[in-house]
Amino acid sequence: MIDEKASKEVEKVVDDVKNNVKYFIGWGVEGLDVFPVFSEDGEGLTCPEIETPNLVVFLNDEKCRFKAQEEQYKRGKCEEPDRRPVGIMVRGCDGRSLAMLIQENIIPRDSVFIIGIPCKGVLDPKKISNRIRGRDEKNVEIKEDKDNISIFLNDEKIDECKKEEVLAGKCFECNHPNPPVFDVLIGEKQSAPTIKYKKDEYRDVKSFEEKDIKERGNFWDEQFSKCIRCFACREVCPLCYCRECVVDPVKLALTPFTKAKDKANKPRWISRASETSENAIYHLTRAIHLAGRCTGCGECERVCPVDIPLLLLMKKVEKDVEEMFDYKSGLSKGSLFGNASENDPNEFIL
Amino acid sequence: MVISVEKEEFEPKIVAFLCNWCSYMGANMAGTNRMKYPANVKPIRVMCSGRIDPLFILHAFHKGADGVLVSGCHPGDCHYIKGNLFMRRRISVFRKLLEYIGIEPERLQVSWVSAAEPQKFTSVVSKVVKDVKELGPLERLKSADLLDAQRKLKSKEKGIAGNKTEKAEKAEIEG
Repeated sequence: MIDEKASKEVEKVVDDVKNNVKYFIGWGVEGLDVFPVFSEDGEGLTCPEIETPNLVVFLNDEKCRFKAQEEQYKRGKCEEPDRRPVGIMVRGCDGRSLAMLIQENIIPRDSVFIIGIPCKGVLDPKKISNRIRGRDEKNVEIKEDKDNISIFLNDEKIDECKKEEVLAGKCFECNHPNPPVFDVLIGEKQSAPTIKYKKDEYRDVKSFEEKDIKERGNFWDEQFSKCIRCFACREVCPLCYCRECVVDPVKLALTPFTKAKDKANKPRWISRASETSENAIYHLTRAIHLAGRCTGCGECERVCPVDIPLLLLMKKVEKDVEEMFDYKSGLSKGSLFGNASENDPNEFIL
Repeated sequence: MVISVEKEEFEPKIVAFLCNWCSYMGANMAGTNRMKYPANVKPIRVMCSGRIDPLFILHAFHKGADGVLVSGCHPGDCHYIKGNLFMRRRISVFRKLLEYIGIEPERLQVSWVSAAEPQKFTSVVSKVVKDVKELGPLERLKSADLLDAQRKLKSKEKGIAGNKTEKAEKAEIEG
Protein backbone atom coordinates (compact mmCIF):
# COMPACT_ATOMS: atom_id res chain seq x y z
CA MET A 1 0.00 0.00 0.00
CA ILE A 2 1.49 3.28 -1.11
CA ASP A 3 0.82 6.82 0.00
CA GLU A 4 0.40 8.17 -3.55
CA LYS A 5 0.56 11.84 -2.69
CA ALA A 6 3.72 11.51 -0.63
CA SER A 7 5.33 9.22 -3.21
CA LYS A 8 4.80 11.81 -5.93
CA GLU A 9 6.37 14.48 -3.76
CA VAL A 10 9.32 12.19 -3.07
CA GLU A 11 9.72 11.74 -6.82
CA LYS A 12 9.76 15.50 -7.30
CA VAL A 13 12.37 16.02 -4.60
CA VAL A 14 14.49 13.21 -5.97
CA ASP A 15 14.39 14.72 -9.46
CA ASP A 16 15.59 18.04 -8.07
CA VAL A 17 18.55 16.78 -6.10
CA LYS A 18 19.48 13.69 -8.12
CA ASN A 19 22.73 15.19 -9.41
CA ASN A 20 24.04 16.18 -6.00
CA VAL A 21 23.37 12.84 -4.35
CA LYS A 22 25.49 9.71 -4.59
CA TYR A 23 22.56 7.33 -4.35
CA PHE A 24 19.23 7.07 -2.62
CA ILE A 25 18.17 4.58 0.01
CA GLY A 26 14.41 4.22 0.12
CA TRP A 27 11.55 1.78 0.36
CA GLY A 28 9.87 -0.37 -2.25
CA VAL A 29 6.57 -2.20 -1.86
CA GLU A 30 5.14 -5.40 -3.27
CA GLY A 31 1.85 -6.41 -1.70
CA LEU A 32 2.55 -6.56 2.01
CA ASP A 33 6.31 -6.81 1.53
CA VAL A 34 8.37 -3.69 2.12
CA PHE A 35 12.04 -3.85 1.20
CA PRO A 36 14.93 -1.39 0.99
CA VAL A 37 15.67 0.05 -2.45
CA PHE A 38 19.04 1.43 -3.47
CA SER A 39 18.99 3.49 -6.60
CA GLU A 40 21.25 6.08 -8.16
CA ASP A 41 18.62 7.93 -10.16
CA GLY A 42 15.95 7.64 -7.51
CA GLU A 43 13.71 5.27 -9.43
CA GLY A 44 11.40 2.94 -7.55
CA LEU A 45 11.32 4.98 -4.35
CA THR A 46 7.90 4.88 -2.76
CA CYS A 47 6.37 5.94 0.49
CA PRO A 48 4.57 2.90 1.92
CA GLU A 49 2.05 2.96 4.71
CA ILE A 50 3.05 -0.48 5.90
CA GLU A 51 5.72 -1.00 8.54
CA THR A 52 9.04 -0.10 6.92
CA PRO A 53 12.58 -1.19 7.71
CA ASN A 54 14.84 1.33 9.42
CA LEU A 55 17.21 2.35 6.63
CA VAL A 56 19.63 4.16 8.90
CA VAL A 57 21.42 0.88 9.56
CA PHE A 58 22.74 0.92 5.98
CA LEU A 59 24.51 4.22 6.60
CA ASN A 60 26.90 2.46 8.97
CA ASP A 61 27.97 0.08 6.20
CA GLU A 62 28.21 2.99 3.79
CA LYS A 63 30.48 4.84 6.17
CA CYS A 64 32.83 1.85 6.52
CA ARG A 65 32.96 1.44 2.74
CA PHE A 66 33.60 5.14 2.22
CA LYS A 67 36.38 5.17 4.80
CA ALA A 68 38.12 2.19 3.20
CA GLN A 69 37.85 3.81 -0.22
CA GLU A 70 39.28 7.07 1.07
CA GLU A 71 42.23 5.23 2.53
CA GLN A 72 42.87 3.38 -0.72
CA TYR A 73 42.66 6.68 -2.59
CA LYS A 74 45.27 8.25 -0.31
CA ARG A 75 47.62 5.42 -1.22
CA GLY A 76 46.84 5.98 -4.88
CA LYS A 77 45.25 2.58 -5.31
CA CYS A 78 41.86 3.66 -6.60
CA GLU A 79 39.98 6.54 -8.13
CA GLU A 80 38.71 9.45 -6.11
CA PRO A 81 35.75 8.37 -4.00
CA ASP A 82 32.33 9.92 -4.54
CA ARG A 83 32.01 12.52 -1.79
CA ARG A 84 28.42 13.48 -2.46
CA PRO A 85 25.91 12.79 0.32
CA VAL A 86 23.70 9.74 0.43
CA GLY A 87 19.97 10.33 0.18
CA ILE A 88 17.86 8.54 2.76
CA MET A 89 14.18 8.36 3.63
CA VAL A 90 13.28 8.49 7.31
CA ARG A 91 10.17 8.55 9.45
CA GLY A 92 9.96 9.98 12.96
CA CYS A 93 11.50 7.06 14.83
CA ASP A 94 14.17 6.37 12.19
CA GLY A 95 14.89 10.08 12.09
CA ARG A 96 15.56 10.06 15.79
CA SER A 97 18.06 7.22 15.47
CA LEU A 98 19.76 9.11 12.64
CA ALA A 99 19.87 12.21 14.84
CA MET A 100 21.44 10.07 17.55
CA LEU A 101 24.12 8.81 15.15
CA ILE A 102 24.87 12.35 14.02
CA GLN A 103 25.08 13.41 17.66
CA GLU A 104 27.50 10.59 18.44
CA ASN A 105 29.71 11.68 15.52
CA ILE A 106 29.28 8.38 13.77
CA ILE A 107 27.75 9.90 10.67
CA PRO A 108 28.71 13.43 9.59
CA ARG A 109 25.66 15.59 9.00
CA ASP A 110 26.86 16.70 5.56
CA SER A 111 27.25 13.11 4.36
CA VAL A 112 23.50 12.50 4.32
CA PHE A 113 20.63 14.10 2.49
CA ILE A 114 17.59 13.41 4.63
CA ILE A 115 14.13 13.14 3.14
CA GLY A 116 11.89 13.37 6.19
CA ILE A 117 8.46 11.81 6.11
CA PRO A 118 5.97 12.82 8.80
CA CYS A 119 4.45 9.54 9.87
CA LYS A 120 0.73 8.90 10.19
CA GLY A 121 1.36 5.57 11.83
CA VAL A 122 2.16 2.44 9.87
CA LEU A 123 0.16 -0.75 9.39
CA ASP A 124 1.43 -4.03 10.74
CA PRO A 125 1.72 -6.58 7.90
CA LYS A 126 1.45 -9.43 10.40
CA LYS A 127 -1.94 -8.20 11.58
CA ILE A 128 -3.19 -7.77 8.01
CA SER A 129 -1.82 -11.19 7.09
CA ASN A 130 -3.75 -12.66 10.01
CA ARG A 131 -6.93 -11.00 8.79
CA ILE A 132 -6.64 -12.44 5.29
CA ARG A 133 -5.40 -15.73 6.75
CA GLY A 134 -2.13 -15.63 4.85
CA ARG A 135 -3.71 -15.68 1.39
CA ASP A 136 -1.45 -14.62 -1.50
CA GLU A 137 0.22 -11.67 0.23
CA LYS A 138 1.81 -10.31 -2.95
CA ASN A 139 -1.49 -9.46 -4.63
CA VAL A 140 -3.03 -7.78 -1.63
CA GLU A 141 -4.03 -4.17 -2.00
CA ILE A 142 -5.11 -1.90 0.79
CA LYS A 143 -7.15 1.24 0.52
CA GLU A 144 -7.62 3.79 3.22
CA ASP A 145 -10.61 6.04 3.65
CA LYS A 146 -10.87 8.17 6.78
CA ASP A 147 -9.50 5.70 9.30
CA ASN A 148 -11.26 2.82 7.58
CA ILE A 149 -9.11 0.19 5.91
CA SER A 150 -10.42 -2.07 3.17
CA ILE A 151 -8.36 -4.99 1.97
CA PHE A 152 -8.54 -6.10 -1.67
CA LEU A 153 -7.28 -9.40 -3.05
CA ASN A 154 -7.08 -9.60 -6.85
CA ASP A 155 -9.41 -6.57 -7.15
CA GLU A 156 -11.99 -8.21 -4.91
CA LYS A 157 -12.83 -6.70 -1.56
CA ILE A 158 -12.35 -9.33 1.11
CA ASP A 159 -12.14 -7.47 4.38
CA GLU A 160 -12.79 -4.18 6.04
CA CYS A 161 -11.70 -2.82 9.40
CA LYS A 162 -10.79 0.22 11.45
CA LYS A 163 -7.26 1.54 11.11
CA GLU A 164 -6.62 1.03 14.82
CA GLU A 165 -7.07 -2.71 14.45
CA VAL A 166 -4.16 -3.14 12.05
CA LEU A 167 -1.91 -0.32 13.23
CA ALA A 168 1.54 -1.43 14.40
CA GLY A 169 1.81 -1.64 18.19
CA LYS A 170 4.72 0.79 18.44
CA CYS A 171 2.73 3.50 16.62
CA PHE A 172 0.10 3.77 19.35
CA GLU A 173 2.79 4.84 21.78
CA CYS A 174 4.71 7.09 19.42
CA ASN A 175 5.15 10.64 20.61
CA HIS A 176 7.38 11.96 17.85
CA PRO A 177 6.05 11.24 14.35
CA ASN A 178 8.18 13.96 12.72
CA PRO A 179 11.90 13.46 12.14
CA PRO A 180 14.01 15.89 14.24
CA VAL A 181 16.56 16.45 11.46
CA PHE A 182 15.77 16.67 7.75
CA ASP A 183 16.72 18.48 4.56
CA VAL A 184 13.32 18.15 2.93
CA LEU A 185 10.05 17.39 4.63
CA ILE A 186 7.40 15.63 2.57
CA GLY A 187 3.95 17.01 3.31
CA GLU A 188 2.92 18.60 6.57
CA LYS A 189 3.97 17.79 10.10
CA GLN A 190 1.73 15.27 11.81
CA SER A 191 0.34 15.36 15.32
CA ALA A 192 1.42 12.66 17.73
CA PRO A 193 -0.60 9.41 17.67
CA THR A 194 -0.56 9.37 21.46
CA ILE A 195 -2.91 12.35 21.37
CA LYS A 196 -4.96 10.95 18.51
CA TYR A 197 -5.58 7.58 20.13
CA LYS A 198 -5.46 8.95 23.71
CA LYS A 199 -2.86 6.44 24.79
CA ASP A 200 0.02 6.88 27.20
CA GLU A 201 3.48 6.57 25.68
CA TYR A 202 4.55 3.85 28.11
CA ARG A 203 1.24 2.12 28.75
CA ASP A 204 2.56 -1.41 28.12
CA VAL A 205 5.56 -0.91 30.36
CA LYS A 206 3.44 0.62 33.11
CA SER A 207 0.92 -2.20 33.12
CA PHE A 208 3.74 -4.75 33.13
CA GLU A 209 5.50 -3.01 36.02
CA GLU A 210 2.43 -3.44 38.18
CA LYS A 211 2.72 -7.21 38.06
CA ASP A 212 4.25 -9.24 40.86
CA ILE A 213 8.04 -9.64 40.72
CA LYS A 214 7.78 -13.43 40.41
CA GLU A 215 5.29 -13.17 37.60
CA ARG A 216 7.60 -10.78 35.80
CA GLY A 217 10.53 -13.14 36.27
CA ASN A 218 8.60 -16.10 34.92
CA PHE A 219 7.41 -14.09 31.93
CA TRP A 220 10.93 -13.03 30.95
CA ASP A 221 12.35 -16.49 31.62
CA GLU A 222 9.85 -17.89 29.20
CA GLN A 223 10.64 -15.22 26.62
CA PHE A 224 14.42 -15.52 26.96
CA SER A 225 14.31 -19.31 26.77
CA LYS A 226 12.88 -18.93 23.26
CA CYS A 227 15.84 -16.92 22.04
CA ILE A 228 18.02 -18.77 19.52
CA ARG A 229 20.77 -16.16 19.60
CA CYS A 230 20.60 -15.36 15.91
CA PHE A 231 21.67 -11.79 16.79
CA ALA A 232 19.18 -10.38 14.30
CA CYS A 233 18.15 -7.77 16.86
CA ARG A 234 21.73 -6.58 17.03
CA GLU A 235 22.37 -6.61 13.31
CA VAL A 236 19.26 -4.64 12.47
CA CYS A 237 19.77 -1.97 15.13
CA PRO A 238 21.17 1.25 13.67
CA LEU A 239 22.74 2.14 17.03
CA CYS A 240 24.58 -1.19 17.44
CA TYR A 241 27.39 -0.02 15.21
CA CYS A 242 30.40 -1.47 17.06
CA ARG A 243 32.37 -3.58 14.63
CA GLU A 244 33.39 -5.93 17.41
CA CYS A 245 30.50 -6.69 19.71
CA VAL A 246 31.20 -7.49 23.35
CA VAL A 247 28.71 -10.34 23.43
CA ASP A 248 30.00 -12.03 20.30
CA PRO A 249 33.10 -14.14 20.92
CA VAL A 250 33.29 -15.08 17.23
CA LYS A 251 34.22 -11.60 16.20
CA LEU A 252 37.19 -11.40 18.56
CA ALA A 253 39.30 -12.59 15.68
CA LEU A 254 41.71 -15.45 16.24
CA THR A 255 44.60 -15.43 13.81
CA PRO A 256 47.38 -18.00 13.47
CA PHE A 257 49.56 -15.50 15.35
CA THR A 258 47.33 -15.33 18.41
CA LYS A 259 49.28 -16.67 21.36
CA ALA A 260 47.84 -19.26 23.71
CA LYS A 261 48.08 -16.77 26.53
CA ASP A 262 46.03 -14.21 24.61
CA LYS A 263 43.45 -16.82 23.77
CA ALA A 264 43.14 -17.76 27.43
CA ASN A 265 42.95 -14.16 28.58
CA LYS A 266 40.59 -12.92 25.96
CA PRO A 267 37.44 -11.65 27.59
CA ARG A 268 34.61 -14.04 27.07
CA TRP A 269 31.67 -12.39 28.74
CA ILE A 270 28.96 -14.57 27.33
CA SER A 271 29.29 -17.96 25.70
CA ARG A 272 27.52 -18.85 22.49
CA ALA A 273 25.31 -21.45 24.15
CA SER A 274 21.69 -20.42 23.92
CA GLU A 275 20.71 -21.15 27.51
CA THR A 276 18.10 -19.12 29.29
CA SER A 277 20.56 -17.47 31.66
CA GLU A 278 22.99 -16.61 28.87
CA ASN A 279 20.16 -15.24 26.77
CA ALA A 280 18.97 -13.12 29.65
CA ILE A 281 22.45 -11.70 30.07
CA TYR A 282 22.71 -11.02 26.35
CA HIS A 283 19.44 -9.13 26.27
CA LEU A 284 20.23 -7.20 29.45
CA THR A 285 23.60 -6.21 28.05
CA ARG A 286 21.96 -5.07 24.85
CA ALA A 287 19.37 -3.10 26.76
CA ILE A 288 21.90 -1.32 28.94
CA HIS A 289 24.18 -0.56 25.99
CA LEU A 290 21.22 1.07 24.27
CA ALA A 291 20.05 2.98 27.33
CA GLY A 292 19.62 6.61 26.41
CA ARG A 293 20.26 5.75 22.77
CA CYS A 294 17.39 3.51 21.72
CA THR A 295 14.70 5.51 19.96
CA GLY A 296 12.04 2.81 19.94
CA CYS A 297 11.90 2.21 16.20
CA GLY A 298 10.89 -1.37 16.98
CA GLU A 299 13.15 -3.03 14.41
CA CYS A 300 14.51 -5.56 16.94
CA GLU A 301 11.02 -6.77 17.72
CA ARG A 302 10.01 -6.82 14.06
CA VAL A 303 12.90 -9.03 12.93
CA CYS A 304 12.85 -11.40 15.91
CA PRO A 305 12.13 -14.87 14.50
CA VAL A 306 10.78 -16.14 17.82
CA ASP A 307 8.70 -13.07 18.70
CA ILE A 308 10.39 -11.91 21.87
CA PRO A 309 8.75 -8.62 22.94
CA LEU A 310 12.03 -6.70 22.92
CA LEU A 311 10.31 -3.34 22.69
CA LEU A 312 8.82 -3.99 26.13
CA LEU A 313 12.37 -4.19 27.47
CA MET A 314 13.74 -1.24 25.50
CA LYS A 315 10.77 1.01 26.33
CA LYS A 316 11.33 0.36 30.03
CA VAL A 317 14.88 1.71 29.77
CA GLU A 318 13.65 4.65 27.73
CA LYS A 319 11.01 5.41 30.35
CA ASP A 320 13.44 5.22 33.28
CA VAL A 321 15.93 7.43 31.51
CA GLU A 322 13.27 9.99 30.74
CA GLU A 323 11.89 9.95 34.29
CA MET A 324 15.20 10.06 36.11
CA PHE A 325 17.34 12.24 33.89
CA ASP A 326 14.80 13.96 31.65
CA TYR A 327 16.74 12.67 28.68
CA LYS A 328 15.17 11.67 25.38
CA SER A 329 17.42 10.00 22.86
CA GLY A 330 17.76 11.81 19.57
CA LEU A 331 16.09 14.93 20.91
CA SER A 332 18.16 15.93 23.96
CA LYS A 333 21.68 17.25 23.69
CA GLY A 334 24.76 15.42 24.93
CA SER A 335 25.05 11.76 25.84
CA LEU A 336 23.34 10.20 28.83
CA PHE A 337 26.16 8.18 30.38
CA GLY A 338 28.81 10.63 29.20
CA ASN A 339 27.54 13.14 31.72
CA ALA A 340 26.86 12.94 35.43
CA SER A 341 25.62 15.42 37.96
CA GLU A 342 25.46 15.72 41.72
CA ASN A 343 21.68 15.82 41.59
CA ASP A 344 21.20 12.34 40.14
CA PRO A 345 18.89 9.96 42.06
CA ASN A 346 20.57 8.93 45.27
CA GLU A 347 17.82 7.23 47.25
CA PHE A 348 18.86 3.66 46.43
CA ILE A 349 22.35 4.07 47.87
CA LEU A 350 23.03 2.50 51.29
CA MET B 1 17.73 -45.38 63.80
CA VAL B 2 16.95 -41.77 63.33
CA ILE B 3 19.48 -39.61 61.61
CA SER B 4 18.95 -35.99 62.43
CA VAL B 5 20.12 -33.93 59.50
CA GLU B 6 20.65 -30.36 60.51
CA LYS B 7 19.21 -27.99 57.98
CA GLU B 8 22.14 -26.05 56.65
CA GLU B 9 21.70 -22.33 56.58
CA PHE B 10 22.05 -20.80 53.16
CA GLU B 11 25.32 -18.92 52.90
CA PRO B 12 25.13 -16.42 50.06
CA LYS B 13 28.07 -15.45 47.92
CA ILE B 14 28.46 -11.71 47.62
CA VAL B 15 30.89 -10.10 45.22
CA ALA B 16 31.98 -6.64 46.33
CA PHE B 17 33.53 -4.26 43.85
CA LEU B 18 35.47 -1.79 45.96
CA CYS B 19 37.20 1.31 44.72
CA ASN B 20 40.90 1.46 45.40
CA TRP B 21 40.97 4.84 47.09
CA CYS B 22 38.06 4.78 49.52
CA SER B 23 36.08 1.59 49.97
CA TYR B 24 38.98 -0.83 49.67
CA MET B 25 40.88 1.26 52.17
CA GLY B 26 37.82 1.23 54.41
CA ALA B 27 37.64 -2.56 54.17
CA ASN B 28 41.35 -2.73 54.88
CA MET B 29 40.91 -0.55 57.93
CA ALA B 30 38.09 -2.81 59.14
CA GLY B 31 40.55 -5.69 58.86
CA THR B 32 43.40 -3.98 60.69
CA ASN B 33 40.98 -2.84 63.41
CA ARG B 34 39.91 -6.50 63.86
CA MET B 35 36.29 -5.68 63.20
CA LYS B 36 33.98 -8.56 62.43
CA TYR B 37 31.91 -8.81 59.30
CA PRO B 38 30.38 -11.78 57.45
CA ALA B 39 32.86 -13.82 55.45
CA ASN B 40 30.43 -14.20 52.52
CA VAL B 41 31.76 -11.17 50.81
CA LYS B 42 34.48 -11.52 48.18
CA PRO B 43 36.11 -8.17 47.55
CA ILE B 44 37.41 -7.24 44.12
CA ARG B 45 39.49 -4.10 43.94
CA VAL B 46 38.95 -1.72 41.04
CA MET B 47 40.73 1.56 40.53
CA CYS B 48 37.51 3.55 40.53
CA SER B 49 33.85 2.68 40.93
CA GLY B 50 33.36 4.35 37.55
CA ARG B 51 35.22 1.37 36.09
CA ILE B 52 32.32 -0.91 36.93
CA ASP B 53 30.40 -1.93 33.87
CA PRO B 54 26.95 -3.51 34.27
CA LEU B 55 28.51 -6.41 32.39
CA PHE B 56 30.79 -7.09 35.39
CA ILE B 57 27.74 -7.40 37.61
CA LEU B 58 25.95 -9.69 35.19
CA HIS B 59 29.10 -11.79 34.91
CA ALA B 60 29.32 -12.07 38.68
CA PHE B 61 25.70 -13.26 38.82
CA HIS B 62 26.40 -15.65 35.97
CA LYS B 63 29.38 -17.21 37.71
CA GLY B 64 27.55 -17.88 40.95
CA ALA B 65 27.18 -14.69 42.98
CA ASP B 66 23.89 -14.26 44.82
CA GLY B 67 24.42 -10.59 45.39
CA VAL B 68 26.72 -7.79 44.30
CA LEU B 69 27.88 -4.82 46.30
CA VAL B 70 29.37 -1.84 44.53
CA SER B 71 31.12 0.66 46.70
CA GLY B 72 32.94 3.89 45.97
CA CYS B 73 33.93 7.23 47.39
CA HIS B 74 31.35 9.72 48.59
CA PRO B 75 30.19 12.11 45.88
CA GLY B 76 32.74 14.86 45.56
CA ASP B 77 35.53 12.74 47.06
CA CYS B 78 36.31 10.72 43.96
CA HIS B 79 40.00 10.45 43.18
CA TYR B 80 39.10 10.88 39.51
CA ILE B 81 36.65 13.71 40.27
CA LYS B 82 33.44 12.28 38.76
CA GLY B 83 33.93 8.50 38.40
CA ASN B 84 31.48 7.56 41.14
CA LEU B 85 28.81 9.83 39.70
CA PHE B 86 29.09 8.11 36.32
CA MET B 87 28.69 4.77 38.11
CA ARG B 88 25.64 5.99 40.01
CA ARG B 89 23.94 7.03 36.80
CA ARG B 90 24.62 3.74 35.08
CA ILE B 91 23.65 1.58 38.03
CA SER B 92 20.45 3.49 38.77
CA VAL B 93 19.18 2.57 35.30
CA PHE B 94 20.54 -0.96 35.50
CA ARG B 95 19.01 -1.63 38.91
CA LYS B 96 15.55 -0.74 37.65
CA LEU B 97 16.07 -2.98 34.65
CA LEU B 98 17.00 -5.91 36.89
CA GLU B 99 13.88 -5.32 38.97
CA TYR B 100 11.85 -5.25 35.78
CA ILE B 101 12.96 -8.69 34.64
CA GLY B 102 12.27 -10.17 38.05
CA ILE B 103 15.53 -9.96 39.98
CA GLU B 104 15.15 -8.38 43.39
CA PRO B 105 16.93 -5.01 43.50
CA GLU B 106 18.33 -5.87 46.94
CA ARG B 107 20.79 -8.16 45.19
CA LEU B 108 22.58 -5.21 43.70
CA GLN B 109 23.50 -2.65 46.31
CA VAL B 110 25.52 0.51 46.02
CA SER B 111 27.13 2.35 48.90
CA TRP B 112 29.52 5.18 49.56
CA VAL B 113 32.24 4.17 52.00
CA SER B 114 35.24 6.37 52.65
CA ALA B 115 38.67 5.21 53.80
CA ALA B 116 37.89 6.32 57.34
CA GLU B 117 34.58 4.46 57.69
CA PRO B 118 35.30 0.83 58.63
CA GLN B 119 32.13 0.79 60.74
CA LYS B 120 30.03 1.77 57.78
CA PHE B 121 31.69 -0.91 55.69
CA THR B 122 30.92 -3.66 58.18
CA SER B 123 27.34 -2.50 58.64
CA VAL B 124 26.77 -2.30 54.87
CA VAL B 125 28.19 -5.77 54.34
CA SER B 126 26.11 -7.22 57.18
CA LYS B 127 22.99 -5.61 55.77
CA VAL B 128 23.63 -6.93 52.24
CA VAL B 129 24.36 -10.43 53.51
CA LYS B 130 21.24 -10.40 55.68
CA ASP B 131 19.04 -9.20 52.81
CA VAL B 132 20.38 -11.74 50.34
CA LYS B 133 20.11 -14.53 52.91
CA GLU B 134 16.41 -13.78 53.19
CA LEU B 135 15.99 -13.79 49.41
CA GLY B 136 17.74 -17.13 48.97
CA PRO B 137 19.98 -18.24 46.11
CA LEU B 138 19.71 -16.54 42.73
CA GLU B 139 19.34 -19.13 40.02
CA ARG B 140 17.90 -17.10 37.18
CA LEU B 141 21.20 -15.75 35.88
CA LYS B 142 23.46 -18.60 36.97
CA SER B 143 25.13 -20.56 34.18
CA ALA B 144 23.64 -23.96 33.48
CA ASP B 145 27.04 -25.66 33.93
CA LEU B 146 27.38 -24.23 37.39
CA LEU B 147 23.88 -25.30 38.40
CA ASP B 148 24.58 -28.80 37.08
CA ALA B 149 27.81 -29.04 39.02
CA GLN B 150 26.08 -27.88 42.18
CA ARG B 151 23.33 -30.44 41.75
CA LYS B 152 25.84 -33.23 41.19
CA LEU B 153 27.80 -32.19 44.25
CA LYS B 154 24.64 -32.26 46.34
CA SER B 155 23.60 -35.69 45.11
CA LYS B 156 27.12 -36.97 45.75
CA GLU B 157 27.03 -35.65 49.29
CA LYS B 158 23.70 -37.34 49.77
CA GLY B 159 25.12 -40.52 48.27
CA ILE B 160 28.03 -40.53 50.70
CA ALA B 161 25.66 -39.92 53.57
CA GLY B 162 23.47 -42.77 52.27
CA ASN B 163 26.44 -45.14 52.12
CA LYS B 164 27.38 -44.26 55.66
CA THR B 165 23.95 -45.10 56.95
CA GLU B 166 24.01 -48.40 55.07
CA LYS B 167 27.35 -49.21 56.60
CA ALA B 168 26.11 -48.22 60.01
CA GLU B 169 23.05 -50.38 59.55
CA LYS B 170 25.21 -53.31 58.48
CA ALA B 171 27.44 -52.79 61.47
CA GLU B 172 24.40 -52.69 63.71
CA ILE B 173 23.04 -55.92 62.27
CA GLU B 174 26.43 -57.62 62.48
CA GLY B 175 27.05 -56.21 65.96
